[in-house]
Amino acid sequence: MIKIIIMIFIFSSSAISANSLMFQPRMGNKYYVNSVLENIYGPESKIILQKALLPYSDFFGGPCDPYEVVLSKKKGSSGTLYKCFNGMPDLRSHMISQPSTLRTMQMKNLCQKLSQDQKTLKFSLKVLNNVKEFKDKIQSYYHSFYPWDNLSNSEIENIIKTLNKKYFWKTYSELLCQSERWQIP
Amino acid sequence: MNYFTVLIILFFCFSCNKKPTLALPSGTDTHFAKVFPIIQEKCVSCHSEMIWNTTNQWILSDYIIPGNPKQSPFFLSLRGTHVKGKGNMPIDKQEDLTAEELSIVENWILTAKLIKPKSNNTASNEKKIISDLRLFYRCYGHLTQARPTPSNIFIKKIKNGELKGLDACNKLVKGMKFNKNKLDINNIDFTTQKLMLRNFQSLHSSWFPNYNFANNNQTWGTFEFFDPNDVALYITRSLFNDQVPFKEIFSGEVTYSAIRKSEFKSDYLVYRSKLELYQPMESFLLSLGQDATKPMPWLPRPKYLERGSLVGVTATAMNQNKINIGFISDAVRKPIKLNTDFNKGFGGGLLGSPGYLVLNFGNNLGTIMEDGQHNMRTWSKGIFRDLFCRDLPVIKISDSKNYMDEDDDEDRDLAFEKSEQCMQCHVSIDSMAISAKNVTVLLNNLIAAELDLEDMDKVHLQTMFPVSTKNLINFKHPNLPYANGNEKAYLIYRNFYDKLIEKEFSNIEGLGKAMTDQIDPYICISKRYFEYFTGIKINLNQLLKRKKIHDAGETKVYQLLEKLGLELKKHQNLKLLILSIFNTEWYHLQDFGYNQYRK
Ligand code: HEC
Ligand code: HEC
Repeated sequence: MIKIIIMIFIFSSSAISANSLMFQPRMGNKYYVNSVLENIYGPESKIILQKALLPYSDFFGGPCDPYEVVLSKKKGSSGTLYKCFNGMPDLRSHMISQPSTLRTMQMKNLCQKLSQDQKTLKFSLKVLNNVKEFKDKIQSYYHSFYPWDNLSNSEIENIIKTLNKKYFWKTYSELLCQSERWQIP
Repeated sequence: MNYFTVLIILFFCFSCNKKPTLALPSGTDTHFAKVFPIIQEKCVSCHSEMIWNTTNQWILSDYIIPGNPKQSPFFLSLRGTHVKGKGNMPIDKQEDLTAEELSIVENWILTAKLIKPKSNNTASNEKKIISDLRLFYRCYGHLTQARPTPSNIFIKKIKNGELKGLDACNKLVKGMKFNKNKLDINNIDFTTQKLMLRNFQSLHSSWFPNYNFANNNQTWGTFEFFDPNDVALYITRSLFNDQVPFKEIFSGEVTYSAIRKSEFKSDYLVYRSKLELYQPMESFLLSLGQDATKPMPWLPRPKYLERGSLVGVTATAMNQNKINIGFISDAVRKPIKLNTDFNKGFGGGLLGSPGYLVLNFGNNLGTIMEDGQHNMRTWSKGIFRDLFCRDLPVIKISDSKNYMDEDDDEDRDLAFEKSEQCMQCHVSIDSMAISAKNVTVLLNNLIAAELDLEDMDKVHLQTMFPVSTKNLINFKHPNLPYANGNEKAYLIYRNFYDKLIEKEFSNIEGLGKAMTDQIDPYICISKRYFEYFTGIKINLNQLLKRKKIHDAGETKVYQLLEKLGLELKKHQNLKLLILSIFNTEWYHLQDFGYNQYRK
């Protein structure tokens, strides 16, 4: 448990400025978050991501490229993923973003949607298909978000103890999705 | 609960946490030991920043000037010091410092000395090095702003111990490669390469803050012909093509365009109206006519920019966008005859690229430059900011004396040439601007059924383009002799080593050459990549100013920048620069050294 939520707000105390240097925790931009979450929650997540993530360049960062969008009267459109939702200023949205309350709030909103939707949640649980033990399932699901890291035994026990049994996977999924550490590439 | 309440709660909690229970480090000098509790008691409640617990931190904050109370903002702010300054602190009179306390503060400032921090500080034993697997996920994320799929071949090899994380990162970087001028579709890593190309073009673009062609009424046609990020294409091209040394971005008249791929052609404009880029549901067709329901087709002349996903960078073809008439405004339809190809650069690579000149023109359209009055100063400022990573002024105030205009008889004696403060900036920007004195920017309605329309056009959709005053035909203007003349330009600034540089040249190409001979453009780009990969932001102006009093972190960063800059100047290869950054300790620390620095 601790490991998952530890990052929330740990960085939110403002950047440390030391004279001519400033250390700013940097999180991946909206394209990064989009890539991770689409991998985990599958193609059905696209609509949700397009509504609840991609327009928020201000606090997720990620500049748009207006020339990427192609639109034809007869043939439809392509490349809308990168459209400039907020117009001109999106050309210079930050490449990387700092943690912020607004970002955290929007992530909460986004992760709720992804874990509530049966189709996206189900897709994310595919990784557990060949895993038998409940504890191993918890570990495997964790790897979806943190492929480089393992939960310790006691952390797993803790998760089992704390999370609601009835909505276990929904809650667990939402919690991991919201955690901040994976958002830092 | 809305955002606002949340913010309030957070702020509230932050301030209630901030109980200043700081202790003094051992070895504190006795003067400061006496001052510290006074500040804690009487200032910190309002000035939460005043929690510095060493004299050094106070000096570096610029609140106190060692040995000089009467110039220290801290001392001047205190009521009862009776020296110039506001002298109204602390606000509440009942909290006023006693005469004894005042003299304690005064003594502290009188005796204060900056102690250079020892380079070997003990905080370093907290370093946490990340695993090979984590390192790979990190660099993949930075290079692509995406995550590798679980089936990624490198991940398997790292897990099996066959490949080091750093080696995998190096392989990714080496994969940034054009086959001639574009990515190779048949390459197995095409998808990753495409992500990297897009990401780096975005990153390079973000280094150039000016992007808006639509600052002038109805000039949004410009977006169809000049990419506001065309400068970035020069850098991206050098990164993806080992045959293109970095310094080539500062030379030549060739300009570059994006090669893009899409399944079909776009028939909508990029830009719609004020501040809006194209919005799919309500865009304008790339066509003409007052009746929007019956658009007239747009003839494919002149050639406009490609649309679709970025796959390469190519030299823009010449002779496809020749133009023979320009206007100063859309109201004054007095055609100016000219003969120019607006895809041709002005020399000096990106410094003279049409996009950069238009975006940094800084004068009214049609301005013909004049010695002293109108010059390309905004452009010079842009070059220092974007390619030297420096804010003005870039010389010392004492340097400007050498350049003062002291001859009263001269007819051009502008007030600011007599003021050292003004000249501290203007010496550098004005003397650089001379190299672009032949540049002006004009308008034409290019998205029209015909090129070079002379009457009020059916659609007011103007395009801005730079023209050399040498290419104006039969045009008379009192400033032309200066604009087309041979006055020499100079690059004048203090460099990375605080040395005053003064180099003469005659055009933008010459400026590019002078720049590539210096170390500073190399330092600047090293700094920019370093910031992107580590999150450690460097204020180069400050870093250079504080050279004599660098702390351990600054010393390390300064030395690293010097090393990276010198290396780049030698090998001219941006990929090697990135690899060098991946090789630094910072990149392997869990927090990029963030907590280490917190101490
Ligand atoms: C009750 C709140 C309060 C207290 C206590 C207080 N200040 Fe201030 N201080 C302010 C405010 C508000 C300003 C800005 C308005 C102004 O300049 O008058 C300010 C401005 C200043 C400034 C100039 C602005 C700057 O930051 O450069 C200095 C220096 C300063 N204070 C020093 C002190 C010192 C030293 C103490 C303790 C002896 C102190 N203050 C105590 C409220 C306070
Ligand atoms: C910090 C640097 C800096 C200082 C100091 C400075 N200038 Fe400038 N000045 C600029 C820049 C840069 C421009 C070009 C416009 C722009 O992009 O901001 C400029 C433009 C001008 C112009 C031309 C305006 C125009 O319409 O083309 C004049 C005149 C001028 N400055 C006068 C002065 C005088 C007089 C002083 C001293 C009181 C002064 N400047 C001090 C940076 C500086």
